[in-house]
Amino acid sequence: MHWLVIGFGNDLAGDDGFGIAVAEQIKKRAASDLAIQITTEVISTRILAPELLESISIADAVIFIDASAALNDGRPQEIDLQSLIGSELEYGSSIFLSHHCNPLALMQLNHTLYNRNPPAWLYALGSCHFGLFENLSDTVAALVPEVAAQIIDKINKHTFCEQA
Amino acid sequence: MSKIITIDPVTRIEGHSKITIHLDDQGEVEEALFHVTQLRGFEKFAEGRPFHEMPSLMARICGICPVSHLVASAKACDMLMSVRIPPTAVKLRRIINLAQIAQSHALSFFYLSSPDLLLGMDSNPATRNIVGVARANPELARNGVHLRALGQEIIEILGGKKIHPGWVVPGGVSHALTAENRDYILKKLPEAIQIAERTIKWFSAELEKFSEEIAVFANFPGLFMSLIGNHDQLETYDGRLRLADDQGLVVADLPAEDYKTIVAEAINPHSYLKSPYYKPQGYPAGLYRVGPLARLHLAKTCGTPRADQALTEFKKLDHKSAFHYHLARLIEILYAFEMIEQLLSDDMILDSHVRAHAAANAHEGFGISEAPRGTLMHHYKIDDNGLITYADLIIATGHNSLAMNKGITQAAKHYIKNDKLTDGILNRIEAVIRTFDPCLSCSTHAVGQMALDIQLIDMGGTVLDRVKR
Repeated sequence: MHWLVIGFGNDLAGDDGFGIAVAEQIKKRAASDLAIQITTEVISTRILAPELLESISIADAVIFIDASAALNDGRPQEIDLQSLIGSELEYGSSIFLSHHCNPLALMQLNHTLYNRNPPAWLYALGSCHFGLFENLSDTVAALVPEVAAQIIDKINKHTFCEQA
Repeated sequence: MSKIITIDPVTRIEGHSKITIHLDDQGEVEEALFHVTQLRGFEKFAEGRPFHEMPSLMARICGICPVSHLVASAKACDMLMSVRIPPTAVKLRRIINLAQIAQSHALSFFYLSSPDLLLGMDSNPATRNIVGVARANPELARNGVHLRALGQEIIEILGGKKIHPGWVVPGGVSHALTAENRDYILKKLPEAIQIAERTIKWFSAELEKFSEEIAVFANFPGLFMSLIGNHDQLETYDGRLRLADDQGLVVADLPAEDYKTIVAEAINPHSYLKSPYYKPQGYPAGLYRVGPLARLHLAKTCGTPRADQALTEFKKLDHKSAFHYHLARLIEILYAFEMIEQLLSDDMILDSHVRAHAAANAHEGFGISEAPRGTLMHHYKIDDNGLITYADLIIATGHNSLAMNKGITQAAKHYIKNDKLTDGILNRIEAVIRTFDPCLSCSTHAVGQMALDIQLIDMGGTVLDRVKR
């Protein structure tokens, strides 16, 4: 099973760098964890762009990690995107601007263009500080290892169950 | 009573702008103006910084074409250091610049303009976007994704990251190419070349559907400017600067660093975008165009077999029409991947000597290269300590400023016949701008939905008509 983990956000905008920080943590773990190393591709990126479809279209499962100003909850939320992917492909620039888009739009496009509908989750965090600074706030920084561990557990559990 | 129609913002371009259409007392279009509504200020805040910081600092001007600024800036710094950079470094810089051109052109054609070209200028604006293209022609959308992804991947392999790589430095590049990376890129190129060829064939056959747009999308006589190779071949990194008219008559041909002898810049109160013009003809008569249309108009050959075949057909088209920027872009994608293949096949490409080292040895440096949208010029002056005292940047989009204004005026006069506006008319006027693919500020991304609100207002401020999207 091939997993794709995409952490995204602007690491120059305070807690918006949460997704990138978690992705980097998983990359570090992969260096010493052969199971993760073999099964998982980890991407850190400032924005989600359609070019990611090249990686998404060959993944068996996809996990996105983001900090969102639209959410109020300061605890990480796990959102099942697959349940939404089957819905009618959404039109309109709100999901797809000229060169960046959101996780659901990418998964929907993956379905439309490559006829694939793998399981996908979004780990999203709200109540963040998006100022012009490079570090995460203490509260959000403390959540990075926790969310990285959750994601690694999920990958291992699914991989293990599949093999069993 | 005169009136003004405003299109704000212009959508599916890189950056933020608006268009105003001015009507005369009879309700006829008098002129249309393209307003760039954002100010970047890089020329000022470069002052006082060490010159060797310029390439990475200037790359931050843009998130779509940072490599173009990196290359032009590094070339200006080479001149400040008075060094001749190693030949392999020149080839590697050429490759990353070509990858930049390919990925940017793919973005422009497949993501931004294909909705108009595939679905039609009058199609429903709610579905006239990349998602609509994915539904109507998944193969076209997949091809666009693939070409852009490959261009970006080559940039990442060479430069360490897709956006804002710092690999191109004063004196050359920071590290050599490995055999493993060369072989990896070479394996990927044949498929990209095939896709580019197929798309050229498809779009060439579509052109007859756009005869009206070809006739009125910035279709007027004028000059074209680009770098040109020693054998009059397409050139994106070095060469001489040439200007010729639409009939191919050369009016200027000079070393690129002497550009100031023929190019001056005017400032308009309606826009932050400067308007360069050809000095001997004055302002605004000295209007000229740059970019893929100009490059292919001026070049006698591309220097790669498949692109040369496409160029032969392209030469038969009316280059006065900005609509043909689209096909020119596709041909340059093909050229870029073919030329990258040629450069990577050179045994010297793995040479480890890729950087010349020196301190500042001159007080003034120019760097000129061809960016996706046209000729890009960086000009710096430094003091005895190597600190920048003056920076002047002429960005490709700026060169096209006068042509874009004249182009939207032509289209507005053709399509707007009374006080009533339709989305199709407004989309065509925006589409004129899109043919030039202006990059106004890619590093400032829009957040949320880009609304379109066009109002027709009379002199007393009364809104006569309004279209919202």
